[in-house]
Amino acid sequence: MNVRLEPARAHDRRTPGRTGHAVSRPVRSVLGSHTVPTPALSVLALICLVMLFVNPAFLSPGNAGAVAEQSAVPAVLAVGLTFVILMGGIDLSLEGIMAAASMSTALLVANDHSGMNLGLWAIAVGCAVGAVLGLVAGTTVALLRVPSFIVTIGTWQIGLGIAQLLFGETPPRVTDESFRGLADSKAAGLPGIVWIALLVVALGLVLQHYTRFGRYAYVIGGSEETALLSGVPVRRYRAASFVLAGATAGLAAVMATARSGVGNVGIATGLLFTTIAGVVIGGTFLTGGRGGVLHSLVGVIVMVAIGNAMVLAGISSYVQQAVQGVIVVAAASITLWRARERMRVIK
Amino acid sequence: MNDAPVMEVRQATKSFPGVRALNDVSIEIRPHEVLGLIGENGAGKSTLLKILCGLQRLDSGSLLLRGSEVAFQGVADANRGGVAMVFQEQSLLENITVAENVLLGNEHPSLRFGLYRWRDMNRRAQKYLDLVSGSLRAATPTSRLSFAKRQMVEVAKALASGSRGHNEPVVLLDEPTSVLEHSEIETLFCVIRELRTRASVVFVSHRMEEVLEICDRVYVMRDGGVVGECRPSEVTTDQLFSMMVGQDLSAGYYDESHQRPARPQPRLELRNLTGENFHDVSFTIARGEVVSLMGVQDSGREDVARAVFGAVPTKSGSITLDGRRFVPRSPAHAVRAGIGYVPSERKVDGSVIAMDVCENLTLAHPRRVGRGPFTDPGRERRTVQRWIDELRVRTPSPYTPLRSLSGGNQQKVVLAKWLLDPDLRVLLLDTPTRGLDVGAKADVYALIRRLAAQGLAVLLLADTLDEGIAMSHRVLTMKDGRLTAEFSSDVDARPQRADVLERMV
Amino acid sequence: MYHTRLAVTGVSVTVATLAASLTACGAVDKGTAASDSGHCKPSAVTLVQSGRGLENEYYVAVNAGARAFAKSLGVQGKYQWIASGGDSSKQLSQIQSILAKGGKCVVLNVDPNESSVLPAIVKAVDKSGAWLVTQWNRPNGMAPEHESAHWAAHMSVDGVPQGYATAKALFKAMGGKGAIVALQGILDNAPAQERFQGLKKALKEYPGITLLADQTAGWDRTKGQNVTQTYLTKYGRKITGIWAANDSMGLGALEAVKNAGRKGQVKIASIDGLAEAIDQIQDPSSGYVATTPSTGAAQGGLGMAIAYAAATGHINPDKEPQDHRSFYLKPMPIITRANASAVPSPTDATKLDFKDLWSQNGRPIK
Repeated sequence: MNVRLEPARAHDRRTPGRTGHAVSRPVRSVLGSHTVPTPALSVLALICLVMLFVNPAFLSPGNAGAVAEQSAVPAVLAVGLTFVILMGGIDLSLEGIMAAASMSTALLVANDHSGMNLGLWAIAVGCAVGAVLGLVAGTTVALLRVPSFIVTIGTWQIGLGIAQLLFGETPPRVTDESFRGLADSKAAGLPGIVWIALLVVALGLVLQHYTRFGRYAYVIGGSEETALLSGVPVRRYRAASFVLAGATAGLAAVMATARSGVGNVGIATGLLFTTIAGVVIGGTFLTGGRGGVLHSLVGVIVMVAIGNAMVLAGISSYVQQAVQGVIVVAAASITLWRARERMRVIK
Repeated sequence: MNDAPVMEVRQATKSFPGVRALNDVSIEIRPHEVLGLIGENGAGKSTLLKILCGLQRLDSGSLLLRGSEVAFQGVADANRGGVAMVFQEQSLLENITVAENVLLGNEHPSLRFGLYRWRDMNRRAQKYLDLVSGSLRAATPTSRLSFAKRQMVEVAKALASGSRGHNEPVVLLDEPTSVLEHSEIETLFCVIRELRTRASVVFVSHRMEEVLEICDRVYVMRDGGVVGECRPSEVTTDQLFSMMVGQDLSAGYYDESHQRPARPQPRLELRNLTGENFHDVSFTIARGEVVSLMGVQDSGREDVARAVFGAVPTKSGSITLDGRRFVPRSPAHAVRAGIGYVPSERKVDGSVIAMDVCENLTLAHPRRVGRGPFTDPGRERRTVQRWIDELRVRTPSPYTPLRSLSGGNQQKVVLAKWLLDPDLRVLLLDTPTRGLDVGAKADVYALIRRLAAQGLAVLLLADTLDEGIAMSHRVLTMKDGRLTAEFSSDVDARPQRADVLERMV
Repeated sequence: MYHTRLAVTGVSVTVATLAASLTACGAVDKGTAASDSGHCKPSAVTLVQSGRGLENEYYVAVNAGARAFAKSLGVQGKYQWIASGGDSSKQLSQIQSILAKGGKCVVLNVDPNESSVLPAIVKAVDKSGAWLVTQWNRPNGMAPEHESAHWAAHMSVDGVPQGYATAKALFKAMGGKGAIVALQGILDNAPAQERFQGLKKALKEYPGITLLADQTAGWDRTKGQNVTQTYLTKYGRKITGIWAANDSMGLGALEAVKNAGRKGQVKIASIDGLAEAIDQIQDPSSGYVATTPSTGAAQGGLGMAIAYAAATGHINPDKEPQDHRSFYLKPMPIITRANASAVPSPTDATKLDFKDLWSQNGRPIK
């Protein structure tokens, strides 16, 4: 008879208490270890604290509104992208999708190029353009099993190509005032696109917490094998994630177009970096299975706030890029601190 | 009670490239029994289970469920038939709640308009959780559970999956005890006994004591076939053992005849080493000496080994290696200094699992199989084949990926890698035999003897008391982070188990 | 009218180039396969214009200018626009494959995606004996006059007078006093630096104007809008003017100004001559005061014309003076409300005289 000396893994002995009323269980699960982006929130708090001394104007309602407005577009992008990344994929196509959606939307509302005037229906078309491109990527990834990294570089180019085809000699200028109003007109001090972004985030949270699509995103990202063994139609959900990411990219393009007032092939320049960096800083793992919509939202706000804070702090343009890089690396390190495992890399 | 079998396998044969995994196997599973399947790794137990749970199909023969022939289209299909498996590799997802794990693929009754009704989900999952344990809560994030609790959740999940049909489920447990400690195994056995009243259970293990304790009936497997069927009350451990291995190995189990006296030169010396979980630890290991460091959970012995390996920081004290001061900065640094570390979790740490046996053996030391800068394929093949034969590594070929081997054979390859290393001075073995079957354990023991005979200093964190005492030249005990005693341990004068145990607890 | 026409007759050009090519026949080769001028028949020539992409108004104008030149020869079918899409290696491989097909009689007018890709392009062209004119960017120390006859010329647009004149128009509109912020282009980019230098030169002449801050917005409209929005919250009503190194950023700034409710109160000036900027200048309520005319058509048309002249032997690049090999285009008067309505479309190449290759030359690039 053997006497066993040690448990298998001594470090994982925490046992949850039996406290907690039935009603509070969902709440508790939301507040659980990985469901709230605490590290990213601390980074945001740190930025606020530093700016309190450097330039308190950062915390003024006016500037907070500016940060909210500038975060709106990447936040919407991040919601869709989060589900792709949760399932362990990546979508690099958003700049291309946004280009195509921006051009088509601008040409479908009242504008100085085409005779179209679909009004706000153009929003739906913009989302649909994105969703179709997402479907192309999604079915290719899911059915042909090509890595999403490559496929979405392809759909990026497709999107850009469509946008270039739609471009005449000058960018189409939006003359539809109700469409421009999405960005210009304010409710409760915040422009329309911020409210749209908040709505998308709320829908994203519902999707993440209360639908099979959202829950299975965690299952697939956690272990595709387990998901398959449990009869989860992995391919279908994976394809759906790209459709969602495409649709949100389309919506983001609509919002950006309303904000700038022209259909623009370069509408999303630099947004891929902001969004993916934001998603990672928020604590959504690129390997899938961890993180969520809320994480990505906070991460994106951190990214926008960094850029905003540097302008307010008067940091010279020449060092800004480097400073931004350093902050991103530092923020990502802080966020991912607890994910680090020292014994993982030895032979 | 109706004794018609719930499930039956008739004349089953299954081959994989290079291996005949099952050869004319027939078994039956009867209602409300705990059926044991025992055998060494590679005997075919896992393959048989995979066929029962729908993961693999038979080459020939038939599978019958409640009297009618079936061909499962996958695990989910087997679930619908009431057959569910608890996998050896834990299959729970850490990043979702316990309830989601238990009801994975089976959520639809709790959905309304496409939205989860979490309260209903948790209520349904709790029903199954309560069947296996009183202390599991459905809404807990799975990452917060200990491994033992996760094992209970696995059982609840299997129950839930198997209960989708209207029949009583068949629950397959694939080596469920391999990651559990003693008290947890007892708890699991209570669950299995409880389970027997509402299901049929297949219990797979290579531990004879466990099978004898829990099972109503046992099939013994060896080399892809069933070599015996017995009732635990009617056989002895020795009989079961010889059926499993096909020969009488037990005399040389710990290979004690090959214990050579340690050489006089000290190799590894720890002086007042202090870290977060251990204090003032001092001991010396000579060349050719095996020292067992014994201690219960949280005794700090694991951290001592990790500190020497540079994976855990120290606060004070010193380490001396062959008379020279050694400050381990990182595991990589320790490896360069000639310190090897073999953990029981070999999949994560010990080997490059996707590479083949040959590459794993020669990876670190290409010179041994090459001429100048070139690899010599012939020499490589001969060297590797020699090791494979000597170590009794069961592999279809030297070019089989390591991940296709069973755990014991993987561990042998990892240890053999160190045998080839001319620069190795100290080997830290952290429960190297945990999870291995008896035959593989015996091979690993023999390997440790040979490594010591080459002049290595071996620090062994033994899996069991017997192993620690039988394998070592000296036994050190630790308690609450401090050394409590030292016993010398010669081949014919081993310390008493009770004495050692006394200083540990 | 910005394209001042010089009344040099075609005949005199022909005489001059004929003389040049005659002397070239007796010249000693400088080591490369052909330092003499080209012998391509007009019918054998392929015209290739390379730039980023036609989703950009500037390149639409470049394309229009180059195409107009092809049309003037009556060989539109031989004209080809290739888009690099902002990818240097793509641009190089496109050019290489065209050279492989067309050989000596390929005429290239290239806007290198970045200066670092230029040496490879020059080398490829030189090797195949084709003819090249380049625009905007080139590495320091590299110039056609030192490299190869096949790199006929490099032309660029001098940003200093552009920055200077637009800034002065802005300051004048602000009444000579107040405070501005500046949106810069990508900082390591020569035009961005030159334009900003022009602004600083103008600031010295207007002591009543202070530059509160400057910041790069990467030539990008959305970034221009974001940075301006942040500046408007930082400095509030102190800002009465915005200078932007290009129109995209200026138009982005205009959106931010509109959203802050300060349309018309904050004056804006920028550079490039985008149609939308010109429209805004015509609207007095917008506050947009100045931009520069587009140089795209001139760069496309004249660049192509010079390379073609080299290929067909009308000029021998090695015999041309340095200010015909590396030069800035002549600065053109800026666009303000006074002349905005009369500005020709940026794609209008009718004012270009392809017979007079050097009509638009300004100061040489050292």
